[in-house]
Amino acid sequence: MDICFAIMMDILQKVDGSRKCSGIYYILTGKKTSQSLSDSQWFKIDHYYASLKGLTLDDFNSIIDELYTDELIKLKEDNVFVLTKKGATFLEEISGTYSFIEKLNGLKYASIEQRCWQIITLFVQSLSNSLYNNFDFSPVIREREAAEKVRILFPRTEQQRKHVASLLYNELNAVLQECDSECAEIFVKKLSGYNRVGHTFEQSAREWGLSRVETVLRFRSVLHVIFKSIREQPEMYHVLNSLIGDFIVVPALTKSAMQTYHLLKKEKDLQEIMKIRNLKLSTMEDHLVEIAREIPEFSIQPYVSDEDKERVILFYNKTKKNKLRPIKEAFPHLTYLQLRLVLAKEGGKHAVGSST
Amino acid sequence: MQLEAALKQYYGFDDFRPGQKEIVEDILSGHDVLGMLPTGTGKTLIYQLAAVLLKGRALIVSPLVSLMQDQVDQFKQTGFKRTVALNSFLEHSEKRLVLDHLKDYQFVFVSPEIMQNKYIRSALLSVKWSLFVVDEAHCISQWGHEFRPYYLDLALIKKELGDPVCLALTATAAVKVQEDILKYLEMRDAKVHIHSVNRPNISLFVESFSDQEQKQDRALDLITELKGPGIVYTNTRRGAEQLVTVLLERGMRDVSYYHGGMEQDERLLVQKQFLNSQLQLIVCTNAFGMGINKPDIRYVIHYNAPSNVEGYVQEIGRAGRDLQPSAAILLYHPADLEVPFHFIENELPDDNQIDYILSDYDVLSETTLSDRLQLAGISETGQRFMEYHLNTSGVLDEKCVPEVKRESLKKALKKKIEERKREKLKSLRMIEKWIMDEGCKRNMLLKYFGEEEIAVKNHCCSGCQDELTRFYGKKDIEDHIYQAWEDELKRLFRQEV
Repeated sequence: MDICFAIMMDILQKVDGSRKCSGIYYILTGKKTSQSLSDSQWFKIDHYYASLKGLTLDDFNSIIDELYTDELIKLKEDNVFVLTKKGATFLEEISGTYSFIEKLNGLKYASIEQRCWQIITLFVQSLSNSLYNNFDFSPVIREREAAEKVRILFPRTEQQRKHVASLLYNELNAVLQECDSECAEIFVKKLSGYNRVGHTFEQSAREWGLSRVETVLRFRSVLHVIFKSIREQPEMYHVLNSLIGDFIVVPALTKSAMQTYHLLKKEKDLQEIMKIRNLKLSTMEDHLVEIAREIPEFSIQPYVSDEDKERVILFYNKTKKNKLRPIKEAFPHLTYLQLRLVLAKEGGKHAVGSST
Repeated sequence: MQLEAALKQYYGFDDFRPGQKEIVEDILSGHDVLGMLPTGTGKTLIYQLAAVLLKGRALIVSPLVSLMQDQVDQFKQTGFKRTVALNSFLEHSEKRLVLDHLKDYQFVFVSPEIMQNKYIRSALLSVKWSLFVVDEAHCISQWGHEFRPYYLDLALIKKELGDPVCLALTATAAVKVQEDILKYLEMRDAKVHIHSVNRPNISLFVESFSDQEQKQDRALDLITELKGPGIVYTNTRRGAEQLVTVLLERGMRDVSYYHGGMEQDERLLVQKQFLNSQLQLIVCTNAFGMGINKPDIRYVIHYNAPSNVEGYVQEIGRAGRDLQPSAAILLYHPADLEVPFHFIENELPDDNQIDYILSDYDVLSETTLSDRLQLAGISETGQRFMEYHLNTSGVLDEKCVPEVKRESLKKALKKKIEERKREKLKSLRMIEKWIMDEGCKRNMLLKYFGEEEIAVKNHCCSGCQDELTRFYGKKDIEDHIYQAWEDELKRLFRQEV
């Protein structure tokens, strides 16, 4: 069974009939809208965000069709599917097969992984060749940005190169030890170096008897582990951090929310920002929720009192309701925006639904 | 400096290849030059060396945008680091950066289209140029096989740039096309260096089939027997993928396909694997090959007939650049011609599309002709063709064009399109004739390009009973002894095992 089906079923189970197919399609393909960003977290499927980048709508529909024909999913209402009992059992059975999926974090990293990979692979290729005294090789990456970065950071003396090589070897080795062996093989084969140009996804898929999609996902899971490692222990991943650390701190905001955030930082008030940016109130609120969720140093205190905040969190932790309505009923004096901000900020990953 | 000394210094070679030295000398003495040299005879060396010795800057016009970066890479690898390409692939900020530092570059590649941009044009005018190189110069002629309308503006641009010495290069141009090049580039007192398209070390074979399955079997046999590395050309992306699937099923390992539909990074990997001899065979569409400088390609198989003689000659010219015996094999089935035929029919806009683009001013949609051109669903070549002609008539960005003008434009365009089609169909018939004819394949090619026939030939072609078996002797690449990732990672970073 192809991994696409497993992903689809897992998502349908977690969403549990609350979203239409189109919403799920946007999450899978990584559309950067407030809705798909917050849905990914609300339903705890953020690792699947952009997991099937480039999937066409036709392919998406044929996955749904096939699951439907096999009676693994059923129609709840128009364009809304849920798992059947058979589907749930099946999903349970295969749950161990794709454990690497947990290492994916599309929501955080989908937008930077390509650029970071280009830098890593070009650096490794250059370093590897120079270690064997081959300075005449043909680069596998052409992007100027990557080439420029590698040029700046490339160690100048032989001694430095040896030193960096041993550091980088240890860093990559540490990351790869955390991954399962197939993921590690795919990743290392994709690297280029002295005397060997890296595999294409097609070639690795063939070698390992996997689908292309799974091969790509396994490869990306390793990249995501690298990003996470750098983020959590930058001092342990010195070389990798110097190569791609800059990219990793970028919060996963939509472009539009990012602009709003910049204005907020300049101490413009909400009315002013709405006027400057010509935003509707609901859009402005979506932005605030996104910012609260993604940017740790952004305080929601101006919008919600600490006392209210604590009480909402307490209630949320007790009931674990994934919907805003019951919380709103318990706190009629708070607005939906205030509730969403609290949940975005403090409920962490779990609760950042939109008001709709 | 002596030319030979420079050759030694920059390339480490002792001798020029035929034709190179004469052209460089003519350029250095201030002459415009039209050079027709077969692919693989080192055209780039000519303008690299000329620019170096002129101590000046060269602008190189190339129609092959997708190939430009390859060329830039190769320039850099050869040691000409101050090389850059300006084309639609560059992002805006990158373009700015390049343009702001234009004076620091020695070789600048441009597409003819991008020079239409006023900003870029004025940046180009701000520095001094010693050499104006027009690569693939046959694109200027509508009798050529790859007409690019914007090439017709090059003479004007050249003048604006202060009339630097002009070098026009092509691998394949029939006499009529050569005349067009001289005329439309306004080359004065140009020295003309025409070299034979003949590549004596490449043997030409044509085999005809009436059954597709038999043809496929034959191709598979050849691939199993022929000494590599090799290239197989198919005329569709799907065709390339399918053939590779069959080969993999048969247990072949060192083969990959390559076509324009692949992601750029993946395409580059396949290309570099081939150059690095990790692959023995590439199965590809004609998107592969231009600018691929691999000297030891032993055979080129055309799994389908190409659409014209010029393209064919260029594609087989990728074999045997090391001058060692190599084979060009065309496997023909009558259905092959359907694809190019269909392509010719649909490449340029049909009457309906022309009428739509030049339709009445629509108050509601407020579209310009340029907008409508985008909406009309025309091929890239077709768009380029229309854009050029609408632009030269000054109506491209108009919304409302007087009816009289529209009608006359429609008529003129339709006529032009018919002419182009007729020309292309003629080319298709030429290659068909070349395939079917039982005479000497080599002499027929020479005749097509207006050259003298050759009387005495060794190992010539299927028409002269050359034997394909002498190219047999496939060796499998020694399979990389499989390494677990831990070992491979150690090897990459040269850590002690």
